[in-house]
Parts: sequence; structure tokens; C-alpha cells
Amino acid sequence: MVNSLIESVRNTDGRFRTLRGKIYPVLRDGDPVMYSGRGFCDFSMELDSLGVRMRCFTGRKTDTRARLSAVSAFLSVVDEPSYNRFAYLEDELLVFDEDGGYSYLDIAIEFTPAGVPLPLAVPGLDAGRLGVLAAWAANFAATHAAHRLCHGNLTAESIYIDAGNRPVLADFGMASRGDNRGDVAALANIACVLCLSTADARAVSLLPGSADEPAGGRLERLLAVPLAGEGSRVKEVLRVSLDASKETGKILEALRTLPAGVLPPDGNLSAFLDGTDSGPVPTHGTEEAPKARYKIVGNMHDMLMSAYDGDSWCYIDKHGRVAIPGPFSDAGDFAEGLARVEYEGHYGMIDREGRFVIQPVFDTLEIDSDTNRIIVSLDGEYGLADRSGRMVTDFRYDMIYGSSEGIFQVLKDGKFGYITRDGKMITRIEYDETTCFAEGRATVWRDGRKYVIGNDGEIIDQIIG
Amino acid sequence: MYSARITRHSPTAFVLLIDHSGSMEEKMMYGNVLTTKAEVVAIVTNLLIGELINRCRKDDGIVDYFDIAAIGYSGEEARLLLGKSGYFIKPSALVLSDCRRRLLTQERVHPDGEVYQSPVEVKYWIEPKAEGNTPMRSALDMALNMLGRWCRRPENELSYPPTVFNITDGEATDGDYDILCQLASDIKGLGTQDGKTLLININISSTSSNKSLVFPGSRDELPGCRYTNLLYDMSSEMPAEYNDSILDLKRGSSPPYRGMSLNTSAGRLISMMNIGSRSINKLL
Repeated sequence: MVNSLIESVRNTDGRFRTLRGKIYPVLRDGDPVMYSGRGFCDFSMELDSLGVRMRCFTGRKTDTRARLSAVSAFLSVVDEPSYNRFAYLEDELLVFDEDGGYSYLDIAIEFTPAGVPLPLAVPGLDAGRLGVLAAWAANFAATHAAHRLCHGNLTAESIYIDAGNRPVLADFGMASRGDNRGDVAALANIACVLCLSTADARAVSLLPGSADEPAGGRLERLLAVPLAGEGSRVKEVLRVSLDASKETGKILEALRTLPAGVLPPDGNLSAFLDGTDSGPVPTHGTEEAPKARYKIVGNMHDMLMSAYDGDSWCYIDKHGRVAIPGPFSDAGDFAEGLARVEYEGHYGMIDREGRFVIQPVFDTLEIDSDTNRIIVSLDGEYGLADRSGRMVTDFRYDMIYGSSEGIFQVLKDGKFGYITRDGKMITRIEYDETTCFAEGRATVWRDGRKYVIGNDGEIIDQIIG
Repeated sequence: MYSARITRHSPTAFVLLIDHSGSMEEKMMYGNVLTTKAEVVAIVTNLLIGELINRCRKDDGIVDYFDIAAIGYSGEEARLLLGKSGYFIKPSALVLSDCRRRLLTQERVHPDGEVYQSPVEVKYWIEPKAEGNTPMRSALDMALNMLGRWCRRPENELSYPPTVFNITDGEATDGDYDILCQLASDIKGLGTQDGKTLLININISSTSSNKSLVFPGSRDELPGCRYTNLLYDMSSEMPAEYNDSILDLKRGSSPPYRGMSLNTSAGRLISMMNIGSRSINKLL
């Protein structure tokens, strides 16, 4: 089976209908970098010099899909906390068995985070200034979120943009689920903007058109090309890229001429763009509250801050423009691209585009940042979920308390116990009282006796007196 | 029974007994390529070893889920083919060992009928060989010795039972019916708390004109010659846990099945070994 998977990864013809470019396993000392686990097999791979990890689900297609649609069943098969970073692909991997049969197996791809620096050489810019350019481009791309590049089955007119300084758009068949759509879009758009900003002849030459034609002109011509279906999203990217290219001249001039000491490492170059009011917003830190109309303004996180006008909450950007109108009854700060909000009496979580990643169905919702879990409740019963809303436990507890050292205290029928972030019981729920874990130990009380337990739930010591 | 978890602390064992006698020089088809039986067996066994190693790959290295041994027999003796010391070798050691690599071209037929050439790299831990007589008794003797030690080790007490593949194209030249059956019975008598050792005997054929037979459900399916009866009697009765996999390969008879095959083609050889090593699916 695994040999067949390796063969399929090496030989992409006919395997992936929408993935383009070369796909082959990364080899270390001549052997593929991979591992198998319960229900899946992971390969480190290269797709057009972009490092990705492919996950092939080794169950039969229908069985796998059935498993994936049932959260608890799925989690019992794939005990993988990083699952949320995988994009589940619409197309399958065609795997030939050694005896000639074949199977279709589901696959998913994990993308490198958008924070990966893009190797790019720009004349006149050293590594430090190039980093500033990259930060600016990242901010710019992130603020123009309408151009999410989730597409499949693009036509030959699509453009490739990759981390190898060539405008090869990642032509990945993206599924409707997956939290890394933003990563892919941001990465693709950063690359697009950077490539255009460098006027890299090699990059531009890969765009359809004559070698003498300026990049901007080529883009404008491409925008006029009718692209059916998903291609319209490509045009959005192209349009954004064209807007970006108009600014980049000024950006590059600033980067080339200004002393290094005045260049903001976070890429906030708006001060250097004369007459430009579409500059990027910084990624960190608070900003002065520009909003007299708002009674309360939260902290700037992920380039957005919550704002309360006396009636409801919304999210605004640095310039006070409403980015997410809501209206929300409550709005938390963004962290890692998500924010907790109360909407029509229930809690959920939204992304930076205001879309509900976790539908507002819960009575309470608290984020446990240490474990990346969410404590939610319905009708007085509490459960644990991951950041995509998939339940890790059922709603079975009367209370779940914030974690310590990765372990949650839970309450049920007047008794306390402990569970892991994956919902596994460390102890039975039998204690009259419990404390948090500190340095691997916690104190518990049962039937008038006091004990010290370890993080495996075993009693280490009984405390007398 | 036959349900134990395979872990690094409770590995299972695979033993390959490979006929290297002179008759293995005869030709047979592997896919659409005519080559020697020795080469076919080498390819298939090396692919199995590669599969076992790949099942052991984890993000941080190789986890030794298996103890692997290969014994070649030809001339007047049997000899170990893997490792320099001890009987079994771990996948982590196999990965480090130098071996020849060869690129094979597999012909694949897509579901839409398109024929596709697929290059597959095979590492040769076991080289093909064909010379001399068929000292199968010596090989079984060696297997009995090494498996006896393996099964007696305390850490293997709860392990998934060992699996032995004996791949041959003809009769032994160093033992008669009774001796070979006794040795096979002794091997099948070894095991762990999870079950007895499985001994699977595979007879490969150089021609496609002879009728092939896999996992017979009874003697009635046999052609009725002494050699086939010997293979039948030497082979293990396959546990019920293997029935579904066997039924995917054959129809028309009911369990229990014997772990043997006759006049096996290259494709059937692969299937036999896939079925015989189904325990490794626990790791996927």
C-alpha cells in the first residue's frame, strides 16, 4: 500500500486532475520523507518548489468521507491536532495496488504558513529592506480579502505564482472546508504582488503576452480575457495585483532611498506614500482610537479592532472604516484570525471577513488559548471543541474550567475530574475538589482525604493533616 | 487470536524462505516482461521488505515494528540473506544498509483504459540467485531454530504471531515427505499467546498453462500429486481473520483455507504475500 502511495505521488499524470506542476516526494538519503499513522499516510512533497505535506487517507473513499462527516468518529481515527491546517481536496489520489487493482483515496494538503519568507531578489534592496517589502505586501494582501483564491479546474489562462519567484498561482483544488484558505490566498497574493513590484522580467515573462509589454499592461489585457467560472476569482487577484503594482513604484523608491533606521519592520509604509489613502494597516499593536463615534474600542489585533457604538459591536480597521459590520451583542479581540462574537443571543466565531467559522449556536463560548480549544455550552451542558467548531467531547459536563498545563478540570454531578485537550479522561470524575496542575501535579480531595496526583491521573502521595 | 497490536515493544516477525536453486533460472512473466523466476521472487520480496520499512517510517525516524529475516537455500545449505549477525534484522538497520537500487517500469491501466508506464524504484536487499539443488529442509531447520528463540523471548510473548513465507518452484532435495512435514509442524507449533506461527508455502510456476491454485479450502481442490499434498500438509490453516482478504482473491470454496498456492504467477505471488502480511495493515 505505502509503496503504491509513493508511486502515485511520484507519478502525477492522471492522479490529480487540478494539481499542476511537479509533485514528488521529498527524499532524504534516497528515501521518501513520510510516515504513516492511523488512517492516513503523510508525505513531504514539493509542488513547483513549494513545500507541502500531502495526507493520503488510507481508507476506502466512501468510508473515509463517512468518517470525516462524523466528527467524533473521525477524531477517533485521526488523532492529529494539526488537522485544521490541511485542506481537504476534492480530487482523490488514484493508487494502483501491486497486483494491478486500484483504489481512490482521499487526500488533503497542508500548506506552509503565510509567514514563510519568500526568497526574492530585488535590485537595490538588501535582505532587511526586502523583509520590509514582504511585510508591506503581506499587509496589503491581507487587507484585500475579497480576492480569496480558492479555485479548482482553472483553465490554461490561469497564472502560476510560487515561492520560487515565479508567478505560478497555486492551482490547488481547494475544498469548501479547510482553515488554510487564507494562508494559500495570502501566500499566492504576496507572491503576486512581490513579483509585480520587482518588475522581474523572468516573472513577468511567464504572463501571456509579449516580452516588451509592461507588466501593468499585460495584467490589464488579461483582465479583459473572459475567464469562465472560477476564473473570475483569478481576475480579482489580477485586479488587486494591478492596484498593488501602481503603489509599488513608490514603495520601492522609499525602500531604496530611505535610511534603514527609519524603515518600519512591520511594513507600515503608509507614511511614505504621498497621497495614498489605501495603505496597509500594521499587524501588531494598538492604534489611537480614531473613532469619536464609538464609545468603546478594543485592541488592534490582526489589523482589526472591535468597536461599540452604544448599540452594538462591529470591527473596524485602523482608519476607522467598518470592516465587519455585525451587528454583534459582544465582540472579542481577534487572535490567529478568529474572534468570538455574540450574535442574536448566541456565541460563535468569525474570521477576518466576518464569516462564521463556528456558527453562533452556543450559549457560552470561551477560548482556551493554551490548548487551542474552545469551551462551549448548550442548555447548561459543556463540551470541548476545536477551533473549527468540531466537538472534541460531547456536551456532558456541568462545567469545564480553563486548562492548566494542557489539562482541563471538569465538573459533573457535583464531582470533579480531569480531561485532556482531546477529551480523554485522565481521572474519573470522583473528586470533591480539585486544583489546577502546576509542574505536573495537582491536589485533589476525596472523602475527606487529600491527595497529590500526577498528570497521568495516578496518585503520587496522600497528604495527611 | 491474531489480534495483538504491533508496537515497537511487541513487534511481529516475518521470515522469508527463498528457493535459490538452479531451476529458478527458468523464465516467467512479471507484468509484461519476461524474466527469471529468481528475479521475480527477488523483486516481490524486496518490495515486501520496502513496504515493511515504509510502514515503520514516522516523522522522527523509523519505528521497529517488525523483526525480519530472509533465508536463501541452494546447493547444500541455507544461508541468511539479511544482516551480518543474529537471525533477525530490524527495519532501522535495513534502512542503513547499502543495497542496489533498480528502476522498474510497471505498466498500469487507468480506469478509463489508458495504459501508463509507471517507474518504480526497487531496492535490492535480496539479490536473485539460481544455482544448485533445493535444500529446503536446511532452510526449514534454520527457520525453526530462529523462530524458536524469537517466540521464547519474553518481550515477544504477547506479540502478533510470526509469518513465514516459503517461496519455491520445486521439491526439496535434502528431505523426504515425513521430515519436511515434521519440520513444518514444528514451525507451526511455535507461536505467541496471540496465536501460532503461520507457514505459507508458495509454489511459483514458469508457465501459465498450468492451472494455478491459491488458498485451497480442502484437498479436493488439489491436483492430487504427492508434491501438492506435501505443500498442503506443510501449510498453516489460515485464521478466520484472513478470510475476507482471501475471498477477495478467490471464489468458490469456503474456509478454512490453507496457506499455500500452486503454479503461482507473479501477480498472485504479490497477492499471496499481501494477504499473508495483512497484519501490517494495523499500522496504516
